[in-house]
Amino acid sequence: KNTFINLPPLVCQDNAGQFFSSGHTNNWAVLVCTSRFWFNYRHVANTLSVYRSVKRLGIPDSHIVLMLADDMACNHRNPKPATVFSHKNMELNVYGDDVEVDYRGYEVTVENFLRVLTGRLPPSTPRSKRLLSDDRSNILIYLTGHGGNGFLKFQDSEEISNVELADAFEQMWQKRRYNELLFIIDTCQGASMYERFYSPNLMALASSQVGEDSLSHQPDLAIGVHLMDRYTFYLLEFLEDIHPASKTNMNDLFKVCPKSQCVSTPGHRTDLFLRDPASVLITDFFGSVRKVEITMETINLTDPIKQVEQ
Amino acid sequence: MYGILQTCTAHSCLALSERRRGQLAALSIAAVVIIVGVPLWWRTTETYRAWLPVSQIKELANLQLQLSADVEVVFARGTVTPEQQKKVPLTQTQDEEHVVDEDTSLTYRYETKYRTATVMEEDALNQPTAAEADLSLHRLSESPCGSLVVYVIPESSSLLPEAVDVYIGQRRTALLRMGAQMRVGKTLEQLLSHLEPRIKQVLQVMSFSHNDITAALSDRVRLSPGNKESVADSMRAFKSSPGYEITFSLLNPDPKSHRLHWDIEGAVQTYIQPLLTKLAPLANFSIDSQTLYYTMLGVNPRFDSSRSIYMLNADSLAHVINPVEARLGSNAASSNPVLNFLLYVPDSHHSPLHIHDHKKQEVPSNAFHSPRWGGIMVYNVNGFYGPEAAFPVDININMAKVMGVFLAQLRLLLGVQSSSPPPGFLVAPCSSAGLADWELDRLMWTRSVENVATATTTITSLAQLLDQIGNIVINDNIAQQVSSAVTSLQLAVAELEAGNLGFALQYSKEAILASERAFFDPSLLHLLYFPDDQKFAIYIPLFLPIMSGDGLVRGPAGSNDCRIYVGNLPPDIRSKDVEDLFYKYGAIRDIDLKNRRGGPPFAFVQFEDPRDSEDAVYGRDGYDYDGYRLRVEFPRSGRGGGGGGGGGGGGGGGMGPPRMRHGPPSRRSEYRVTVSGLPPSGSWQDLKDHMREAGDVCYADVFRDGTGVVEFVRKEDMNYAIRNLDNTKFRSHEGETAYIYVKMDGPRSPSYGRSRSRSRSRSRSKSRSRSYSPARRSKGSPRYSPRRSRSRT
Repeated sequence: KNTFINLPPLVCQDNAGQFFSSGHTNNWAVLVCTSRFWFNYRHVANTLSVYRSVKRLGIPDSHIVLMLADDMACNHRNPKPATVFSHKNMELNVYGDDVEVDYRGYEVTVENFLRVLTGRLPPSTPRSKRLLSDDRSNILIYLTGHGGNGFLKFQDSEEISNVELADAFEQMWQKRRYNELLFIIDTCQGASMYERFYSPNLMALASSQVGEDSLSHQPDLAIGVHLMDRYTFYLLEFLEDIHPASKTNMNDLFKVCPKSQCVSTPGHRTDLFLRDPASVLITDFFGSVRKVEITMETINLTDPIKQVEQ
Repeated sequence: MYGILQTCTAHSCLALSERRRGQLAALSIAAVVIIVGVPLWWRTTETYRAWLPVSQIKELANLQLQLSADVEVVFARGTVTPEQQKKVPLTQTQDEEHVVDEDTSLTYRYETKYRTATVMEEDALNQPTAAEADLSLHRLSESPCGSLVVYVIPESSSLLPEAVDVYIGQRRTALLRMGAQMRVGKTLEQLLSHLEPRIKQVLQVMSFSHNDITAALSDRVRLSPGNKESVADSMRAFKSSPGYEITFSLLNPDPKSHRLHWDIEGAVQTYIQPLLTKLAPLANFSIDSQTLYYTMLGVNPRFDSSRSIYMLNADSLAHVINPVEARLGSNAASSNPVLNFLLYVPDSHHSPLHIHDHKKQEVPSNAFHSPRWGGIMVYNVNGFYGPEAAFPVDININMAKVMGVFLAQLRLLLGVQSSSPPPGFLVAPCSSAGLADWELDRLMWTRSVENVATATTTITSLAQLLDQIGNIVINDNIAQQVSSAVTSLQLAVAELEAGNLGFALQYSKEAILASERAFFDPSLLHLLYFPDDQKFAIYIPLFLPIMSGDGLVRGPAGSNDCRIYVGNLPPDIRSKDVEDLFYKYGAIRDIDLKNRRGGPPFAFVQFEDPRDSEDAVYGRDGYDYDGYRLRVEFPRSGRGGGGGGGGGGGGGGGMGPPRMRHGPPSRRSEYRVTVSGLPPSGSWQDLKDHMREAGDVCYADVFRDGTGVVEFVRKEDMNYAIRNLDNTKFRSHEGETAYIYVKMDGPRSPSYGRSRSRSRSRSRSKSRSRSYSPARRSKGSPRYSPRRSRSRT
């Protein structure tokens, strides 16, 4: 007999349960910019600013599916190559040091977006391009682009409708691909995109109500375009103050960008969500605070070779 | 017949039969269209939907799962009296039903066989310790997967220590101590009813408990969050998957202080592989290992100066994993769950590093794990080098110690160990296989149920999806996968009912694979949502000719309709005057006045609305403006594209009356010149353009031989052309240039008597390539455009 087990009594952690109160073990983010061309610089900057925030708050690149329809950093009209700024006077470069774009250029299509969500990808798709979430995953989905009442344009050539989006989420729910899902959209008439949702555990935010335009912000004379959209600009300002251990909750997020700043009226929808928004931490979606348990039991193994030598 | 022939004249009779023939022809054409066209249309627009076993899927939606467990209860000598002994062997079957929700119910069938021990078993039970007895019993007979043997031993037996009533061995056997009150004077029934709850307790530990099974149904039945402990348990272990990737990583933050050697291959072979071999029926495992240099933890440990150690307290552990995870990488080719096991060796300046629990106590294992992720162990090595150690220090890592931690974590994360045994139970230490037989059984029970639950949910939601979306294509591959999933599910349910755990697991695995392949088939995404209005839009091109009168095609044809040509203007005209002339017909977008020196001025006026331009042509053509008779007409390519109904007559095919009643009057004049030397690409439009310098051209045409004819409204214009435009450079729209000769035409020949319609039809055909108007760009930002344009190809 060369191995034996030692089972110390299981010590229950007093606050072990607290770790598990949000019901998720991992976080995913799907961040999409649907617009091409230089004058849509702000949409790329929007998406990259959210990317920067979730990455800073702890979601690793392997858990982020970043879809950018155009490459502004290397656009030949960019007077400051390899940068994408979110603030005027080049104060904040959201392009950062390492941006891992999973779907880019013409890969950003309605079809690919829906495939990522529903998991119906060709078998050859690499792991980094997949949303490998499970029933304990909290997913953040951020979309920005040009939209209208009930749709969001992709690439100036096609669009996703709110019905398609709601159906995709329902299929994710049916296949237990998420525990909770936070949907944020910065586009004109953004609230129309979450009107049709019907799956449980969804929380949705939009930059504007139906009939309202979402407006841009931060015009920069040196770069020659607007750098950000108003809603995401203030969202970024809000997220910059969050750190992984902060206790800021969703009710604070709902207050981001009031009409006085946004010009449009940001909307949110919580009726499908089961938890009280006040108990949902920002880091439940924007960050990834791993739940951990201390390993109390170990198996006492002995080296079989040493055992024989003895 | 005869009468009819008599009463009608030959002529009218002919007309009648002619008409009847026409009707017949029309009818037969209609019949052919209906008989051939409708089925053709039906077939070509039909969505291919392969047959699915809908009724069987409906049956699966209502899942009644029965789990049958066999238990053999063996009475050792001294536990039953000879009278009682006469009544055994006997068999009892007990059913226990649970309704989980309206669609799911569970039945547990416990089949208990009672018998007395054989002589060899008695010998085995006489071993000095329980562990040895367990081994001897195992050598006697091997019980099949999913079954249990419980040996009832007398209270006086020395096999079990005090206070221990039940011993659970490494195989599928348990030893149960008879209670003290059962010594004498009890009937067999009393004895059995005394044993029954205790045997059930043993079953719950060794086979399955209701809690485990309901937790395994979580994919199917969303349970309200129960107590925190069970939620934590359900979150900790990975979900059932056909494969797992296990990655062992050695983190060496400072290669300058340590040169680390770990025999990971040998350690995996020795400690991990036996466990994985045993788990082979459940899943495939692939193992990787890597060493990462200069990888730090994401948090800074706190220094405790009193003990000169570094501490990681429990609250900061949550933030350790993410920064490290970005460095880990994973097998890109597989989408199976990854279990990460990290061994962190702190560098010499930050060691020893100890993990502290919430009570600020040092954690003996110095390790922690994260649900569905893996584990991290901190391995301090500063004890291995003396004060005068030369850096980097060579260090051999004690793999037995490391693997002892990782194996325990692996068991937790795979769901092997889920709950602590009830009081009075002693669980045998696990063998070198890392997994007792009953633990494997336990896992197989829950995994089979979990697979069945997941696969039924997948198949029913897929069927529901396909049912809801009528125009989704179901190809043969999907149908085949669905059928095979349904068959496997039925088999798995039947095998669970029969108690064949091994087969049940196998079929449930096949079911889950087939159902996932069907659900995630890439072909299912197309046409998920296709609104009805767009279905009809497909047919719009077919009805275009009919609808052409109503501006349906006007949109793309663009602004040409809104432009009018104004000729024969006085030389001192200003665009303000042109505006005065036309403002009353509607909003004017643009006035383009061409007042070239030498030639008479002309202008293009663009209205917002094509109807206004029509009114303007109608109202102002021939208008006497300060002695000049204005010529107002649509530009030569003007009604191009959409204007086919107007002058052409060719394409319209007699559908409806010509829309443009007031088109340019077909005017010819006697002031005609012939032109020669035209280049091959020179069109009549080019010629008219060229000749406009001389004045008002009312007709122009070209012939293949490089000659052409131009007619002017006024004689002086003709004379100007002969005088000034003869032997001038002519440039065609394709860029060809040539010098042309302009001569006075002779007497009018009949061949020139072409109708205006000819030039119109030409203009139609060329309008695309030669358009006056530059493409207009809409000004509004696309973002704010309220108009919905949808194009989906």
